[in-house]
Amino acid sequence: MTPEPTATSAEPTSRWTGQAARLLALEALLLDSRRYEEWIELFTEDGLYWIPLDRGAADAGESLNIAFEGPARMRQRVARLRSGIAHAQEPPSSTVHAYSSIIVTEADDSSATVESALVVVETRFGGQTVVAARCRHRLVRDDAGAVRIAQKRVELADLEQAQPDLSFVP
Amino acid sequence: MTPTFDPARYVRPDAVHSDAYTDEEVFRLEMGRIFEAGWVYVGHETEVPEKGDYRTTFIGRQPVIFARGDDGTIRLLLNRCRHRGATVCQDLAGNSTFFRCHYHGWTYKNTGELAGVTLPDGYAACGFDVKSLALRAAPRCESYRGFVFGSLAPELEPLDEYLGPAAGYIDRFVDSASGAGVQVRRGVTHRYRFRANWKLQMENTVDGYHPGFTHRSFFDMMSDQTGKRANPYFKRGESPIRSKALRNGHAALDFGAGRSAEEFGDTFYERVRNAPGAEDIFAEFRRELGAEVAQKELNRLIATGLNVAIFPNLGLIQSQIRVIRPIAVDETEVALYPTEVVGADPRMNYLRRRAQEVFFGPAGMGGPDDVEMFRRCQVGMAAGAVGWTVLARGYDPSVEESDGSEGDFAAENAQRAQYRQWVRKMSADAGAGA
Repeated sequence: MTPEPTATSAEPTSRWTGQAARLLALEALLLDSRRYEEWIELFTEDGLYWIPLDRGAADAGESLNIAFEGPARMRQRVARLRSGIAHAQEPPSSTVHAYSSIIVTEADDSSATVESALVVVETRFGGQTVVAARCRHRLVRDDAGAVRIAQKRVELADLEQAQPDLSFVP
Repeated sequence: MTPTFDPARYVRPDAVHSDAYTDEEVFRLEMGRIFEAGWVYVGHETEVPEKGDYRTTFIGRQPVIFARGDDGTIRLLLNRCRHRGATVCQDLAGNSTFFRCHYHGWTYKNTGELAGVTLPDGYAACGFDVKSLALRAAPRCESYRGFVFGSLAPELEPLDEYLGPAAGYIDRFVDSASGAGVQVRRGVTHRYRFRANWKLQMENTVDGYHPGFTHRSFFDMMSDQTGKRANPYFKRGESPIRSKALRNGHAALDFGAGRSAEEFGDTFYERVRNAPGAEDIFAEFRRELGAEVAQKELNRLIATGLNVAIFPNLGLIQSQIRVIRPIAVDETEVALYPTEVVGADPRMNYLRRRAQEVFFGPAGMGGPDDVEMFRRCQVGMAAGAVGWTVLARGYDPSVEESDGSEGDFAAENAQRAQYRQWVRKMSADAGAGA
């Protein structure tokens, strides 16, 4: 599931490593700043934001998910969060997204798979929730050379357990 | 707390005292008298279709293995080794011939029978038959249309009698999408937990008053998407919904038998259309069935036209099974199981899962707003000086309200029926409780 970088992919892998780390750091910044519209712009138009409920699930559609959506639904989610009456986020959570252990596991010139550890600390009314997850980003480079997210998969460490409110964007 | 518990201190015909949601002693009695001495929903037969299949769960505070034995019979085995009390099954779900306690090696068959103890010669002189120490099973385990209920108390009316007229609503839930019934796929479950009392979720399951307010952001979202008003079914003067109290604390919001979802602005079709893959499936159905039939079929699949609450812990919400698990007076877990239509086109069941995801679950665009209201209620009810909450909508003090009452979409007669049952169960002087 997490293949070692192979010798033949070593060169593109090293080129992707810095770009991947910068993109994930930017993603964390945009989410923690609640700059959601800019966050969605990081995704390709057919991109996927996915929080599965099945550990190791390969096919989101066959099971049930905590989130399974493309930019159209993500924009609706954000518009709702902005509405002032999305009560679970009134007042909104304050979050810190921390990506670490970032490693490019597959890469060619136009795309890469990036594995990372994600810890989100979310706080609201003084309570703190820690969300721990393994993340897998599929990144693509468009013709203009810009790097976008084709898929973000967030596998929660405790996905078998009942979850606290996750209506902020983990 | 006086030695004799008086439920009337907490419930009036049209009001509930906030102590019922905040007092730890009340919670302890609820677990004993309601959850561990009466019928509670445990699981659906289709979660354990094969011999050896099991899922671990709880009846009240007590850990239970919902298991189909090698004899094909479903049992509710208390998950506790008869030797020194350790759990014998650690997994959420699986398939096993045996349940083994790894503390001292005692092993049980999946029927509960004690298959063997380690070093048995040491028990030769102690004068009891080790073989009699099977896993204890809940004394009552009965099912209706695949819905399995259990009770830790043996003396209880048959399940059919307990369900009464609510059984007809289960029938509608099971039969609405097709003649072949519904099934639950093991592990396909949203679970969430919150810091509030379990009864808030119970009331909410049949609360037609709140959607227009709690969920307005979701309906606005649907209105923006469709250009049409999304929630006339929660509007005074337009709603077709009747709020029905049933016997034994069960209740239903009945959207009307056979009503089609197209009457409501917020349709299944529209709810799922932005999910990945949905538009492709719609296009296929339109090609195969024609546009009009396709849309009707898609909408019919989700809109059972029902929200049902079976006291104390089961909800049937459109096509979803909802199960409440109280943890503490101010902590609750809820599991949501999307049902699949048996034998249906897999694309239909794909869309039913998508319909649950958009609204429900820990990051859904509806459910978390309910949970936020439960949280606010629990915090607010710490203002114990205020005392009574109000459940009076549609209440007429000149008429004694009976089980079987009906009200408009936003009547609180459903909740009043739930609390009449709460008083009956909490009044039980049978020692099973406490």
